[in-house]
Amino acid sequence: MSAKTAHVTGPCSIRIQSVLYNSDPRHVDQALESTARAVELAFREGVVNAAEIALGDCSPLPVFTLDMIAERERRHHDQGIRRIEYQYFGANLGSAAGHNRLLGSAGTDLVMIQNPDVVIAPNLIVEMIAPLRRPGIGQVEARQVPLEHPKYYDPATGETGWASTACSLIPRALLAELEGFDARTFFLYCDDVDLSWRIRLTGHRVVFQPSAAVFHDKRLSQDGVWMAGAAEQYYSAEAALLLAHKYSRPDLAAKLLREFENSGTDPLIRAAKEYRRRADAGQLPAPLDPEHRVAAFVDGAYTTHRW
Amino acid sequence: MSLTYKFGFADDNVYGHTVQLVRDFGSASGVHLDVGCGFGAIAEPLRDLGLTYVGVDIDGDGLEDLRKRGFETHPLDLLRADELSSRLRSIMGERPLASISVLDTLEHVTTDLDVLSALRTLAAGGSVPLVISVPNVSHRDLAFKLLIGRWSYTETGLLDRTHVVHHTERLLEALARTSGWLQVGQKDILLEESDQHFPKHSVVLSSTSSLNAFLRKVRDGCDGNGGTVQFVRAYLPGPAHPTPSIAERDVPEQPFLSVIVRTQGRRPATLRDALLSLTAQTCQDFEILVVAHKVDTQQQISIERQVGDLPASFRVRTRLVRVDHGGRATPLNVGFSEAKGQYIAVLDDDDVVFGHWVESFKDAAATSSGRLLRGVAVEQQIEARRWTGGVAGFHSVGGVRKVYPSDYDLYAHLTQNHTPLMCLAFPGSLFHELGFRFDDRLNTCEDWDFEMRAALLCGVTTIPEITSIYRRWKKGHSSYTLHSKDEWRANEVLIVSKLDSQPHVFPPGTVRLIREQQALIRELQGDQTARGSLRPGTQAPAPGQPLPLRYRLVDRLNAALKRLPGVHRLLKSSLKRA
Repeated sequence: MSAKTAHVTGPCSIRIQSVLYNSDPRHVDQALESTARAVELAFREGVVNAAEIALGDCSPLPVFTLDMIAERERRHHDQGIRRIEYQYFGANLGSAAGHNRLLGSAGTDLVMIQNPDVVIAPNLIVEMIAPLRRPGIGQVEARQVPLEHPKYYDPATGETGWASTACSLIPRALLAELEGFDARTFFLYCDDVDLSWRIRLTGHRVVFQPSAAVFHDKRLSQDGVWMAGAAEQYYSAEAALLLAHKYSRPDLAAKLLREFENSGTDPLIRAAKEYRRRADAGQLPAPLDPEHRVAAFVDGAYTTHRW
Repeated sequence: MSLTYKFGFADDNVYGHTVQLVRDFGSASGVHLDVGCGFGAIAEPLRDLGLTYVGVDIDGDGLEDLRKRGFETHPLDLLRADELSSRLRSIMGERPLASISVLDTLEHVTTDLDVLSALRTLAAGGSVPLVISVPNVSHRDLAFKLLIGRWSYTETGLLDRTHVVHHTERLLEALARTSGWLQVGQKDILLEESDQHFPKHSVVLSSTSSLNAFLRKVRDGCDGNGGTVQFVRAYLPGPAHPTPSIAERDVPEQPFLSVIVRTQGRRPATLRDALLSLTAQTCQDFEILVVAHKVDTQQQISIERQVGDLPASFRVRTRLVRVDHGGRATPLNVGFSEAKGQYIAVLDDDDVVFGHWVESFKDAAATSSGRLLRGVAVEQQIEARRWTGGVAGFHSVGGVRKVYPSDYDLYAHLTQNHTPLMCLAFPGSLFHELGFRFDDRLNTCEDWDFEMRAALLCGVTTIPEITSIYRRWKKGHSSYTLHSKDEWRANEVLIVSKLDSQPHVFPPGTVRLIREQQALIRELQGDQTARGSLRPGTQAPAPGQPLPLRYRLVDRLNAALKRLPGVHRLLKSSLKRA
């Protein structure tokens, strides 16, 4: 496998990695059990020849002790998990930086980035690897259950604008070439949009694989709408400004800045303030994609949505 | 023993039924051992069958009477459990044992299990039928009188004052199974009005009272013994299966919830989602029964593989049940019968649930035990589509929409179902104790029918959380596309007819609602005398500013009938036409 072609030709090694933050060990165990089962079945299908799990912990206090990790390593060893790496960061690095720190020790062919509380379908790893047998695929995204993301994808090829890293599979060499997530710019949201767009800038395609299902425990309000907390509002707004700037849409960044500043909504106003602070301090990223080959800003979303 | 217990033989009483069972299951020759024989009302008829009648009892009056009639008798104290087997062997000697009866006896002794075990030992090695007769204390008359605090002992009959054990069918089954007797025949004595049917005009007993009608509906739904005064059952020797005859207060460990996943094997992709969403539940206190209905071999293999692929801690709680017959209700009934959970919920293989679906039910049950639990679903349209690689999959074609109300309005549900089945968790007791079944005659709306009967009996506890997604197929198979409008209508008529043929308990507040509704109807019909009778939720017109009648009525309808959307719609449409 090479970063240029990035396609799988035989059994491959895989690392599954997650970043924890005050995670409930029971939920992490659920995730581990489903992951180990999917690894076991991938071994059985002959698509995987080595597997490991890496957990990075951003919590104020460690979620696990090393003994607890060793016990889980023993529990899942016979299913094909050769080791569980656990790094306690001692600081809230954020998702992007946490994953980057973990990637430093990765040596597998593929890396699956996933949220710490997701539960994956038993056939997920087999299904996720399948598209990578086609040349030119740089990232494969699982379908989220119960709430499917409304992003458009090509029904024949699965090709889509960007992929969520709630559960995404990427060749490690490609990640290394890109130096992982842009953690200097993004803390919690849109680091995955940015990663997908940079993958596409290398000439690789990003595909959505609906036959690979992952349960992402999202909830709706009693009125049936998505509940966005203040933190999500803040980081989403901040990321929207940063993405617009980074992908050569200063007009959009300026428009959003005005809207946020006049919104009367505290998280949006704070996001606008932080953006101005970064701009004044010269901390904004260098713009990419000046010809707008990959970046899309469509009605507040980052690709066309189906609904 | 006085002559109190000297009853004559008749073809349609306990003795006649016993002789019929002996004739059906016993040998034509040999000894018939009548344990606790009393005056031996069956002696002559059995002798006429060619059997050698031998009566044993502790009471001398009955034995003496039998001896005078030319029958062999022996004294036997059934309370001397340690001697029973040896005494019975001694009485029998080397003679062949043809059959045994224990009539109206076990209720008088505390050694019932010893007696049955000794008789089982005596019958070992032969196909010797045993006929047992005991009174049934679960007869309606006793049950309803106990409800009002009456337990009326009498000299003889169902509540003979000398009875020390009160039998139900379940107790009798437990005794027989434990001692190694296998039931093979049944000729119970049925009497709508037992000897306990007094006083005659009791509201609970009188079959013309509403209370009796309701109680009878509940009692008769549970089992077929509400009108049985005497169990008369035949058994043959079989393996002993120790079954507790003394109830344990602490229920054996059972899951909180049984989840029945109904599949026809045609949607492996959505089934995988349903199982995944269960695997990911925050509360794992549940078991899963995947009920495969009328699947072919390939479909079965596919389902077995999905179940086999599940993570181990989940797989051990998952069972696959294959059902090859019946309509939509059949797999539900089979699933419910197999369910061990305190509550039971149903998913179709195209449903998907949020992570707190089970947790929400369990939280609600903690304060609403025995009630029907009802969460809320959102709806999402999907359509069948080939996934990459040609796999049969599906595709969401819209976002989720909240089309089902957060509150459960019982009266609105009588008009139309506003609750997809997966929003509900039913107490297991409904099925296992009260005899509730899904109606096999219905090929649509079987869930609505079951839900309404359950809601009326249990009451409903609302969980306002959205805990599931009801996926509606835009294209492809579903009950909406497979059945004609006429079928839907016919099923609706049947369901309403069934509901209306039974008495029900309606929740508090019903009287006020009906009064408001009646007043509005009268007002709409121009009955001016009813005007002003509305109080709750109505707005008085400003002094000197009377609204036109039409608008006044609309206001009142909107205010007073918020809780009656079905009727509301109907009345509004009438108003528009007015």
